[in-house]
Amino acid sequence: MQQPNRLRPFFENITFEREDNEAILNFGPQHPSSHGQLRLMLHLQQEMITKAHPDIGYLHRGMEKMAENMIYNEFMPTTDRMDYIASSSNNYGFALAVEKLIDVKVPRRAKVIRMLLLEINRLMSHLFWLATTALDIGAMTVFLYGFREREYLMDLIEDYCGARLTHAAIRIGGVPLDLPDNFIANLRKFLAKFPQDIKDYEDLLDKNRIWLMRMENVGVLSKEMALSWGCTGPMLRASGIAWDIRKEEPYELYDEVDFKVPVSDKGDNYARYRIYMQEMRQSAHILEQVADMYDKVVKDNDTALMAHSPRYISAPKIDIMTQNYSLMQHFVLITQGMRPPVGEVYVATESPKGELGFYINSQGGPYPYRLKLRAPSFWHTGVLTDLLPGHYIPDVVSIIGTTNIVFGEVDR
Amino acid sequence: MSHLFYEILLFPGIGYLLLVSVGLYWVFRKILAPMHKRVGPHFNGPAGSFQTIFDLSKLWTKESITPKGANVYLFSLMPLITLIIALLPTAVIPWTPTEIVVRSSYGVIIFVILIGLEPILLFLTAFSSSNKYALFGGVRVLVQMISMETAFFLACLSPAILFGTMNLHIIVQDSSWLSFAILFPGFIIFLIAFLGLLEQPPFDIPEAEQEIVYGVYTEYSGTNYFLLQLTKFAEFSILFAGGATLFMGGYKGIFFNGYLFLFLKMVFILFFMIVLRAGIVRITMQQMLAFCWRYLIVFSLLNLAWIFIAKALFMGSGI
Repeated sequence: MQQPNRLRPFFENITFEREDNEAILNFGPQHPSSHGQLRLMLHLQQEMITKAHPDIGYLHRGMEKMAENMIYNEFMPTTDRMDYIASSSNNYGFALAVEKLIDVKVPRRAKVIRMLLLEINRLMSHLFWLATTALDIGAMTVFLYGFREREYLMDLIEDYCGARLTHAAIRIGGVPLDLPDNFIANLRKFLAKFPQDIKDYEDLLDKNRIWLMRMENVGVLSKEMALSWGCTGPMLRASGIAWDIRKEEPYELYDEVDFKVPVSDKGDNYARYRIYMQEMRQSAHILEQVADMYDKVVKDNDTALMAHSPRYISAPKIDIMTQNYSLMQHFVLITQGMRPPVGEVYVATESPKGELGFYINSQGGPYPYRLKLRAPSFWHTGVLTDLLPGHYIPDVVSIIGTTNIVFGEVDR
Repeated sequence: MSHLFYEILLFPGIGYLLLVSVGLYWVFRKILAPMHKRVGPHFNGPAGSFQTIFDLSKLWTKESITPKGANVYLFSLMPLITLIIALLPTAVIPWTPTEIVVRSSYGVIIFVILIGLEPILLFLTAFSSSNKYALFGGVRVLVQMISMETAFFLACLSPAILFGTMNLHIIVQDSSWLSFAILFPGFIIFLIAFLGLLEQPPFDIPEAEQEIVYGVYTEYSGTNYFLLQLTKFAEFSILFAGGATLFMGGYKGIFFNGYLFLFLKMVFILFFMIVLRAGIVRITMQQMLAFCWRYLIVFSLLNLAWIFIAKALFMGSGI
């Protein structure tokens, strides 16, 4: 066998005169509908795709390696930059993994606030998804409507933590702040009008025959394909598998709230769109219940926001300022970082886009020995290889839209 | 002679057409904005009416980049040619009872052919810019042209058949409420087909921003892009005016005749276009072709038959 020479090109298998009428289109990384930095190499017969090859890595920041050189609390703001549409979900996934590693018990008030943040983030993410997907298919109006409601939620989050996009609003062992005044009132005001907003979107889209034509029977993801590609979240549920980690392995207070998991067995774009719309309704329903829970917590005068665990978590500010031992402990925890016990842990949470998993391997030092992120969008990007062939260029846009990939999360 | 220069440079020539195009575009933005729950242009001029002029002057002064590998002459020449071709039909349209530059007996044909030339020129601009996205856009322009212009021609033919003349001036003079009612199916077909020609939603397939990045315009920037944009604006106003002239009786008004009524009719057609734009999503090429050849062209042929029958029945003359 001839050895390909590194310096001279190996021409044996390359034909220069091709008669197959195939065009290769470089779709992205800078493209209006590439949702960040997706580069797709599309092999085209006229406008039909024969082969699609997603190329990722244009937003790679090496988060997993960065984590190995940071103390645990330091890594928290970096997780914001993964799925930047719903940052608190990432914060929460990481915090939950570390909490499981160091085995602390989060106080109830913090849990309620976390639930509020998580579901608000889910709504924000789904609204953003609806807006951008509608824009990709050409519905400018729904785009602006969706962003209007998302703005309201971002204002709520801003009231809470001061940031709108990168929240870093959750700490290991609890939350840093209590809810501000009027937060619950504003939230209730939003929840009162939100069902009408969802109905507005559905009126604009579901009764539009062109929208149905563009969505139905396009990008059909069968059950077997969804399983073999490791799809999770709405992608999996649209393909007929009722899998929601909030139901299967309840974390936080999800076993106390009442909500349904919408499922469809069609697997096409339209099924995914329906799943997102119904999940928004369910999220609003959860938020109503959690708002009541918060009222109850306030009534019970349950004020602790951070877990009590002197080895790992700083004492409340008032103790640090008044008690010598707490001050020393705080100093050590800030300068050196917590030292979790030797061990490894994998925790999966249901982020708006699917299963968001954090694997942490601790060797007893202040830095994680290895941190692995399992981001749902990464797996959903892979599906494009199988999903796109046989479709036309306009469908590429709608399929990328409904897979709901965010590149902060894919490239990490 | 000086009157001819007045007509070419001011009314209804270049100056007027540019002004009305920019004005209509401002109306377009101003009406679209509340439907999106926005404000629209606001700061420059009264109610933001200078915004489009500012936008265009910005484009005008920006650097015009010619990509490597493009056919330089074709690339730079085409925007100018498309603009000139787009401005020409203004000569045959009767803007006011007295103002019509070319009193031709073939007004309808001149109008239709000058409009129909535009897509071919756009394809040439795409072809010259040697970019795959532009090429896809160009091919889409051609496909859309072939399917949409058939319906457009047939729709434009119906008033000519009804009034028995191709002279736009006579068509306007002979028009009445009865003729508007007879031409109404044709008018609907005209409205649908002209959305396709102007590449407006739901037929904005050739310049779909999210799919092929504005298609033929991908490589254009600066002055060349300015010319192409201006071409589009001019084509908008010409087609609005053409539709109003052919089907709605042009300058004919309720109490008096005048340019005002033509303008109102143009705004009416614009309003129809905007409402569709706000409420509808883009269809794909295949769906457009299916719609066009299965329904639109069939109905435009039926419409011609209806026009023949109606002419015999209502207009009191044989065919």
